[in-house]
Order: sequence, then C-alpha cells, then structure tokens
Amino acid sequence: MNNRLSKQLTPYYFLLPALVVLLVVILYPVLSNFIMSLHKVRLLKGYGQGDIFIGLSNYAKLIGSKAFISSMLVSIRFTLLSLPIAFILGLGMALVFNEIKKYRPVFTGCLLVPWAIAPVVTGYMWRWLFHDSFGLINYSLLTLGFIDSPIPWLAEPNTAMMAAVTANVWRFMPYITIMLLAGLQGVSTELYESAQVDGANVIQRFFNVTLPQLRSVIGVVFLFATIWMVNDFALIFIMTEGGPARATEVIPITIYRIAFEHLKLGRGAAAGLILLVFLLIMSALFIRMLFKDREGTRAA
Amino acid sequence: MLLRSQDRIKKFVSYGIGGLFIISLLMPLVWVLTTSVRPLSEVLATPPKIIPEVLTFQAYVDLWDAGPFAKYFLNSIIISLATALVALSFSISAAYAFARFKFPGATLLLMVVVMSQMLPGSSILIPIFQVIRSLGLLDSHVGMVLVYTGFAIPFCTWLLNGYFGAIPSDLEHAALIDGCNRLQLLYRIILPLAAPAIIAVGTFAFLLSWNEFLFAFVLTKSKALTIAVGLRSAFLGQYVNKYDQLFAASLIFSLPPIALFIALQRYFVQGLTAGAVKE
Repeated sequence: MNNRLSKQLTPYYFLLPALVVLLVVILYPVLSNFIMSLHKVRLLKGYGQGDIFIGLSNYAKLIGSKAFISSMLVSIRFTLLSLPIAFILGLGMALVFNEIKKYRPVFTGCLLVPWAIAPVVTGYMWRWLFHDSFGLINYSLLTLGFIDSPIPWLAEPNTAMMAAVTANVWRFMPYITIMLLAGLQGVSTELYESAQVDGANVIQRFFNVTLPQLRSVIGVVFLFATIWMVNDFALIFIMTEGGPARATEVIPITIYRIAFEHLKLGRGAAAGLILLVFLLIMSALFIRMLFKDREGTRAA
Repeated sequence: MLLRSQDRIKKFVSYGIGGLFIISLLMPLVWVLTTSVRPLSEVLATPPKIIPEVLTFQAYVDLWDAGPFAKYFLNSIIISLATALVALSFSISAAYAFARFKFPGATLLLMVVVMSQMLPGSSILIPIFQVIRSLGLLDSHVGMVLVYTGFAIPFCTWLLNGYFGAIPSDLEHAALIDGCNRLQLLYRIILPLAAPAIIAVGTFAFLLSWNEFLFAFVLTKSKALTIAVGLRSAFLGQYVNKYDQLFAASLIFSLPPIALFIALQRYFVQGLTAGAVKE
C-alpha cells in the first residue's frame, strides 16, 4: 500500500523543483500583481506593510492619466509600424532564400546575427548610427545630397519613433524570415506544379498557393512578434529613454517609471495588468484567426 | 535549353539579392566594429571618416580598466552559466514527468507551463521586485539566477517534453525489469538520446540571462550587475563618451550569442519553429 502511494507520487517529485521556481517567479507574482494593483503600496515600507486598500482607484487614475494613455498609443504605433515592415521584408527574404539551396546555412547564419545579439547592443548601435553629428546615417544622407543639414533624429518626436522602428525592424526581420523559410519547406510542390500547368503566373501562384499554406506560420509569427515587441524595454530605453517628450515611451517604460521613479508600486502593478490584458486580447484575436483558418481548410 | 538558362538567371538573381541583403543587414555591425578600432579622437570627428585612418586595438585593452567592467563580465558569466545548469536540471526532470507518467493534473500543469511562457515580463516586474526584495536577494547572484531560471523553465520544459515523448519507451521497460530506478533511467537512457535537445535548451537558458536587461536593471545595483546593464555606467556618462570602448565591449559581449547561434542554428530553427510548422 505504502509502496503504491510512493509510486503514484513519483511524477510529482520530478515536477517539484520546476514547479517551486515557477510558483515563486511566475504564479505568485501574477496573483500578487493583481492584489497590489488594488492597493496603495509604499516602496520604502516592508513588503505588504502599510499597504492601503483603495479598490480600483489605481486603474481609474491610469485611465484618466494622459501619460499612460499616450504610452499605450505609442506602444500600438510602435508595433503597428514595425510589424508590417518587418513582415514584408522578412517574407521577401524568405522567398529569395528559398531559392538558395547551396550554402543556405551560411546565409541563414549571417541572418541570425541581429536576432542573437542583446537588444541593449542593438540599441547602442542604432543610437550611434542615428547620432546627429557622428552618425553614419546623417553622413550618408548629407553626402548623397538628400538633406542639407544634419537631422537630429533622436531629438525630434517623429524622427525618434522612426529611428526606434528602424532598429526594431532590423532586430525582428531575421526571426520572421527564419520562420517563414521553415514554413515554405512545407508548401506542397504538387499543388504548385498543378497551378503552373493550369496557367497561373508567379503572382497568382504566390497568392493562391503559397500564401494560404503559410497562414498558420504567419499567425504564430504575428502572435509572438506582437508579444515581444509590445513587451520590449531595453531597445527603446537605450536609444531614447522614452523621449523626447514621451514620444517613444512605450508601456514597459511607463511601468518602470511609475514604479521605480515615482515609487508608486500599486499603480505600476495596475499598469502591468492592463498590459497583460491588452496582450491577452491581441493573442486571442490571433488564435481565433488561426483557428478559423484550420476550420476553413477542413471545409475546403 | 531555354528553361535551363532561365533557371540559371533565377539562381543568379537569388544569390545576388540574398547576398546584397545580408551585406546591408550586417552593415550597422561593421560600422560599429570600425568604430571600436579607431582612436577616440577619430571616433568623435565630424564629418565621420568611412575608412579608419589609424587602426588601434587600444579600446579592447583599456576597457578592462574602465570602471568595474571586468566584474560585470564575470557576473554575466556566473549568472548565465548557473541559470543554464539549474534551468536545465529542473526542466529535464519536469519534462520527464510530463513525457513518461500519467497523473492527475498533468494537462493542467502542462498548460500552466505553456501559458507562463507567453507571459510578458514587464507585466510582473513589480511583484517580482517585491518577492526578490522580501527574500533579501536584491543585488545578488542567487536572486538573478532564480528569476532567470523561472523565465527559462517553461520553454525548456515544453521543448524537452516533445523530445522525450518521441523517444520510444521500450528501452526503459527493459531497463526497469533489469532493476534500474526511474532516476537511473533518466540518466542512462533518456539523457544520452536527447543530447542535442539538451544542448539547445541549455544554450537558450544561457542566452536568455546573458542578453536580459530590464530585470537586471531593476534587481541589481553593483554586486551582481551584469554587462547588459553595466555598459551604460562603465562607458557613457555626463562627461565621458568612450564610444570606442563601449562598442569594443559590446562586441565582446555579443561574441558568445553570435557564436552559439551560428554553431547551433539547426537546433534554434527547430526550436523556434516547433509546433508552428506542419511536418
């Protein structure tokens, strides 16, 4: 009897270490984040000491705050600008690389470099490239005669956003290319050939044969890229610190500011929860899109 | 004949565009590389010079004395290696349980693991800060390893679970009859067979902590500060702009990720696309 019980417990012993860590670092924080968001939490007091329950007032303050709404809009703008550009470039490159059979690992190896290095390094690199007096970008534009005087890229709201989007596209495109390239391996050549026999041209074949078969990969790419882009702190923080005039202050930077500069931990936790819900809704939309597609193919 | 020459043109164009694309993608890095091998006077010259006039590796020598850079470097190595080891052993054990046992709550627990992988880090930044603070682990190596292990476990467990599941269990049945216990089975049979996945997963955990910024920024101050955060304080400030050393340090910092990604690209691609691509 005892033996049987210990046998039944075996899997739980194997799971225990991982679950304890997840409990401390992920599950408890998720719960605690919710509770903190309903309190006024003082950083300088001990953990949980002197917290005052204030209901939904943190949320009300956030929704009424211009700075927070602006950071949500900045996050949306940043993602909606980066994602399509990175996707179109990534798709184009995946199609080109798909034709490259010999030495493909050399190409994909080089391609992975921007994805491998730390976002911090990418941030410093682009900040340096966009530097108004020592930067390569202004120098090239001046030399080629596109501009007459150097552009202070990171000092103007609109150009700072453009610079951040450029860096972000540079970083994400390799991921998108690799994913789509893997997806293209699964595109059936039979369908492709029969479409060719039917007289479909390259563009028709791309839209009617290739793209539909890539749909599930595209869904996954959009889902993960959105989560990662909205969640990114380091790249923008290093490039602009959210400035100038909050023009590039995305939600994660705002959360950091509220909690660790204004020392309002409860309100920061509420902002974190809003970010989580925001991403959950986005994910649910993508997953539904994927699910619908699966049903569609089954019906067809 | 016509088809063949068409094919040849297509191939030529593909390699041409592909090559040009790779060159322009890597241009920014090349520029940063040339910045790191110039004297600072030339780095801060307007207009910038495309080709360095003087080549010097002084920045690569001096950076080790710039503030506590060497300490930050060591911290990154210690924290990342420890994370890789701990995350790996915990995930191997958890993945084994998911792949080989049927037990109440298995599906629910696996779902929890998968869901935590999608959780955006910045949404739990503040409670994690509070947890680490109340454990007295702020600015400590142990605290950072704990947090990064938690971030690495979901993906590692999920990937290993798939890999272990694909290993036929006949071998284990034979070994069980021979009197091996479960732990011995794991060490002697599963681990050797799953070596490629284990290497990939360990590398993932290592790089996750190596490249991470936000949590290191919030949870450490000086003792456990990693390079990702230390680059800023070591080379840039109100009165110092040691761009040559900043980029020399950035490149040294980027070497392990680049080398590991290129060496293990097959596994990374497999890992990235696992589940997303229909076999």
